[in-house]
Formats: sequence, C-alpha cells, structure tokens
Amino acid sequence: MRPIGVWMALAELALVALLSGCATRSANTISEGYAGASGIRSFLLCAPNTFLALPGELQDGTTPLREEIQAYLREHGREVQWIDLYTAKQLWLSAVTRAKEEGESGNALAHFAGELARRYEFQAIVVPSLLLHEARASLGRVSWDGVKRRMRKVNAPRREGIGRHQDVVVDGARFEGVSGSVSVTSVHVVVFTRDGARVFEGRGGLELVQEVDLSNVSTQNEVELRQRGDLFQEREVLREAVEIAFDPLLTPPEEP
Amino acid sequence: MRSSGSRLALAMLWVGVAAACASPGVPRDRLEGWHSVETAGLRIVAEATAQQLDALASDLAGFDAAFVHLLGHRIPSATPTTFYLFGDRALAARFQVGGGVAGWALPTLDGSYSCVLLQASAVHTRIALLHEYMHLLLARQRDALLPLWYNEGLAEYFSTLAIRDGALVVGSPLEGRLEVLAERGALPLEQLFAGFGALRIDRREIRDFYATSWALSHYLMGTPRGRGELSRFERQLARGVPLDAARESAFGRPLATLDAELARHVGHLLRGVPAVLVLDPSAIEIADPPAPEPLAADEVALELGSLALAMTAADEEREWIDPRLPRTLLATATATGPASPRARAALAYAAALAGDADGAGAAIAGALRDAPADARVQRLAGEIALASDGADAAGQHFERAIEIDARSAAAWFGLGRALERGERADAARGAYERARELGWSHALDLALGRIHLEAGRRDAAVALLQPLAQDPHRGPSGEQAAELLREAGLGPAGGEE
Repeated sequence: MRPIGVWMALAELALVALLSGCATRSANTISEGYAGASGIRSFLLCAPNTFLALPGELQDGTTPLREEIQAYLREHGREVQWIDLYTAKQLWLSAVTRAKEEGESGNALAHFAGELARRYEFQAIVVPSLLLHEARASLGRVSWDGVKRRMRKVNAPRREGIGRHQDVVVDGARFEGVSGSVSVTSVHVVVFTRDGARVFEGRGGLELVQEVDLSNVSTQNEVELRQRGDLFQEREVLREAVEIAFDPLLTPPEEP
Repeated sequence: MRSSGSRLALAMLWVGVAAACASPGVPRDRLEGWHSVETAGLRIVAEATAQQLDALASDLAGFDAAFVHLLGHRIPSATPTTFYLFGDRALAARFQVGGGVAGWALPTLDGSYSCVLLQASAVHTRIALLHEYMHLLLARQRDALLPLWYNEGLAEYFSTLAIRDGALVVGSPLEGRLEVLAERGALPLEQLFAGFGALRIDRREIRDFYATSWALSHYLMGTPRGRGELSRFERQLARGVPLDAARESAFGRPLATLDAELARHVGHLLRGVPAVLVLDPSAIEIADPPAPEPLAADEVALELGSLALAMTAADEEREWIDPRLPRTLLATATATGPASPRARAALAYAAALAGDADGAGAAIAGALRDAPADARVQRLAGEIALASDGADAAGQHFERAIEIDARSAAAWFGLGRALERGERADAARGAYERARELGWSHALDLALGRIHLEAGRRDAAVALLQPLAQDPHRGPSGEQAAELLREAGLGPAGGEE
C-alpha cells in the first residue's frame, strides 16, 4: 500500500509542471507564432479548477466561468467542447500514474494530452481556473491583473452633518473607502497543444470577493469586510476577465 | 466566548453569542414572509422567499443524496429534523444565531433542530446549513461517542460538498480555515485530541481547533487508508473501547508521525493542490424538492414557539433563551382559532417552564381530555408533572405515552427521570438505556452516566460523561459531567476555562 501523502506529492509535482507561472506571473505569456491563434480552429475546454484547488466559498463561480469561456471562444469563430471534472480528473490521475511508473513524473502532462487527443477532436486544450488571491486596496480602489475595481460599501450610516457633529472616521470610511489587503478573484487560463506543449498562459482580474459593511462604523469605529452575495452574476465582468486572460491568444473582436 | 448556558456546543460554527432581547414578544411583521418545504425527510422553515428556499432545499437534497451515496446507506432518524433559517438579525439573535454564530444544531429525543442565519452570500448560508446537518447526521450515530475534533472536523469537511461541472466534489477547502493554518500552523495533535479541557478557551484557540480538526479530517478522508483508519476509530468507540486506546489502535503510529504527516498535507493545501474527492455524480439520485409553501403568521408562531420550547426544555439553566419566548409565541399561535391538543399541550408545557403551574395544569387538562390517546400530549403532561415535582403522576403519564408509542425515546427518558426522582435507580437505568437505544441527547447521557457512576460502573460512566465534559462551549450538561468526573477522581476532564 502506498503511504498516505504520496499521491498528494505527485499531484503537486504535476501541478508545478502544469502551472508554473500562475502564482507569480502577472503578464500573459505566449509562444512565438500563436498570437491570434490562427491555426487553432477547435478547443477542448477542461472543467475549471481541474488542477488547482478551489475554495468551497467560490464553487458557484465555475459554471458561469465555463459558460463565458465557451461563449467567448465561439464568438471568435472557434469550435469548443468541454470535458467534465470527473472525466478530466480520472484521465489526469491515470496520466500521473503512468508517468510515475515510468519514473518521469514530468511526463504526466504529455500523457494527459495524449489521452485527450485519442478521445476528442481538437487543436488545443484550455485549462481554466478561478484564482483567489490578495490585492492591495487604497482608499477603496483596487487594481490587479488588468482591472481596476472600487470596493462597494453597504449599510452606510446617515451623515450627521459637519462641524462639531462630524465624525471623521465615519466620513472617511463612507466617502473614501478602506485601505489594506483584500481578497480578489482572477481568471487563469493555460493553453496546451495536442502533444502537451504549453503555448499560452494568461490571467485577467475578475471580482472583489468582499464588500465593506459599515453597520458598526459609527458605534464601534469598525468596518467589516464580508463576502458579497452577488459574486459571478455579472456577465460583463466575467467577459472582461476572460478577454484579458486570453489576450493576445485571442484578441477582442474588432468593433464594427 | 460564553462559558456556559448552551448544549448546542458540538454544533456551533463560531463562538460569541448575541445577547438575548429583553422583550418576550415578537413583532407581528416578523412572523410574515416565511415559507416552508420538506425534502428528503427534512423540513426547512425559512424567513426567505420561495425562490431562496427552493435553492437551499435543492442544496440540502443534493447533500443528502450524495451522503447516502458515499455511505452506501441512509442513517435513519426516528424523529423529525427541522431547519430554521432566519433573515432578520434581531429575531435570529433571540434564537442564538448571529453575532459570530453562523448556525447551531440541537439533537433532542423528540426531534432534531438546527438554526442557521441567512447570509448575504448564498454559498455561506449553504455551507453553514450543510455543516449543521452533518452534526445531526453524526448525532444519529449514537453508538459511538465521538470526540469533538472528529465531529467538527467531519462537519467542516462535508460542508463544502457540491455537485459542479459534472462531478460530485467533496472536501473543497474552506478559505477561512486555510488562513488560520497559514498564519499559525496546525495544533499539535496531542493538544487537539485532548479537546478543550486542556485549552484555555479563547476565540483564536477555538479557530485553531476548528482549522486543525478540519485539516486532520481532510487528510484522513483523502485516501482509502485514512478513511479506513477513521472508520476503525469509530467502530472501536462503538464497541466501548476508551478514546485513547481506540485512537492508538486505529491510527497505529506515534502522534509525532501523524503530526508530521498532517504538516505535509497542510503544506500541500496551502500551495493550492486540489486535494478533493471527485466522484461520478450519475449514480446519485437527488430528490426534486416540491415548491415551498407560504406560512401564515400563526403557523410561523407555532413553528418558532416549538423551536423555542425545545431550546428551553433542553437547557435547564435557562441562560440562552428567554424562558418567556416559547409561551408568548405559542400563545400567539393558538390565539386566532381553535388550536390542536398538541399545540395546547405545548403551550401548557411552556407555561410550566415559565413557572406558571396553575396555567399549565388547566391547559394540559383540556388537551388530555381532547386527546387522551396522543402519546405526545401524554408525554408533555408527564413533563409538566415533573416540573411541579409530581413524580408519580409524571410516571403514569410517561407510561401511558409508552403504551401508545413504545418507540418514543423522549417518553422513556421522562419515565427514567420520574423513576429516579422516586429513588428507583435500577428501574430508572433500564428506562434510560431503552431511551438510548431509540435516541440520543446530551441530557440523557448525563443522566445515564450519573446513574452508572453512583452504582460504581466507572468505565461505563466515563464513556458517557467524558465527551460531554470535553465540550468546548461547556453547556450545563458538560459542566455537570466534568464536575461528576472530578468528584469521582476520574481524571482532569474539566480543565481551566
């Protein structure tokens, strides 16, 4: 019997091989000759976060993301089919096992791509993920991965006036916003060829995860960051993140 | 952090409880806009729109079906399970939800109750709901006296269960727990296994405890070997093997080794390795919940009054719910028209708990006259008699309830208490043991543990009392259990608070 932890270690090795740049790189990278992806007519889309952990709190976002990527690729005239998470995981596990048996864990990706190529018709594989990470807010404004957002404030107390009645803490929080580290999401995509060569990696800023609750600001001088109730519901925001993440593999369509 | 007053202990997601409202009344407008639905044998009563409730009912039905699939069978329940979802924070606070408590679960002998706060984020509400349901499922496994880390760890582990992108995904990490592990690391397992009796309880340490409980469950649930170890641990406990021996036998390696394995696993999680179980969802049959039904204000009053009554009855020290609340709500529920004997019996019991023996006596007499063959009415009559020190009368009502429904754990427990009051310890023990075959509650284990202790059956007493004594929130049962163990010189089950 394998000791507990061996599979986790293998999964991590493969993860590193697969997604080497996602944690640190902010600019999208593309292999020479792939800008515009003129040679790619059809994509095979893996279920989001097949290879990267997804916090339970963000699980509702994967279906909207997948649907938005499918729509985006089709609008660029590409055919797209997707493979569900269960199938993708099964194939990946089998690829990792085979690579391990060969003593070359770095070959897992090639085995995975090869197995997909035997089963599906496509020219490139898209591996998308929702990322949760932190960005710096400055007076309620946050910039990351190509987007700028402003933190929403809710339950703002009524302003009591100016002069003696003015509360600078309340006014500061209410009109300027908070500064500090906040949770944000990004879309991350990696594109591989049929033989497992990585040709593109990109990410686009998606949404602020939290909003500022000012319920207690006037009584306790406290602001609370709480998770928004409407994450992943704005198509335009998702579309913007997907466009940034795929640039310059697929550039936004020309305006008519 | 409150140190006493609640037997919701095992179920609390967070600590820190809002103060109860001073007024016993509930504004009428707070009783409007509620819906209810029943799915997979579970009732949900919610201060929510039909659309919101429908989504949550689907989530609960999906969880239930997935859990049955994972386990290979359904864990049966002889009593109803009801979830109450509160939207209004002021009303929620009166039922001890909010102010840091996302939800709680209360298994009692005549039904299981759970309260959850509806949050702005639907996914957070869902996670709290599933966490509490998991506690109720674990409480049904009453053969094994589960330690707190196991109970909380599994509730956290399964709380993120979801069907997404064509797969059943189990074990997605909770960001809040990862943050704690990233900042402070996992607790040493010796400390985790000692439970809260060995910890100075503060909010940060409770977060450490929850995060480590989750991480350990996540680690063990992630592999067949780990799942086998957890299963063996539970089976050993069910056979009455003491906690430490069961753990040593199940895991079969030094704690330092397990500590090191857990640290490696946490490292993987913090680096984003997707350590989840991904299963084929096509074999899972999920019930399609019916459309939620709107509830009239008096129906809501009856629901909330019944909940308040269960909370009051479960807490003899009356510290965590206004004892006037059940009576006020049940009076509202029965004021507008002819009420059922059960509703009147519940109102009578609420009056007895509020100290109005005369009002209780008059009301229960009417209910008994109209429904003498209703086991619940007879049982409540027994409770009312017990509340006024009428042990003999109480015993007769409980016996009558058992004649009508021999599987009523609550009636057997009531009979046991009536017999114990009459100083018939052996007969009381028999009634308690029968109750425990049929159901489970903290109060029952305390009563049975005490009887074992008084009769010199120390091992049996420790097996029942120690899990109560290690309860982190130290409700009355936990405190009494710790005190009993201390007095008997059976180890430092209490510890400092």
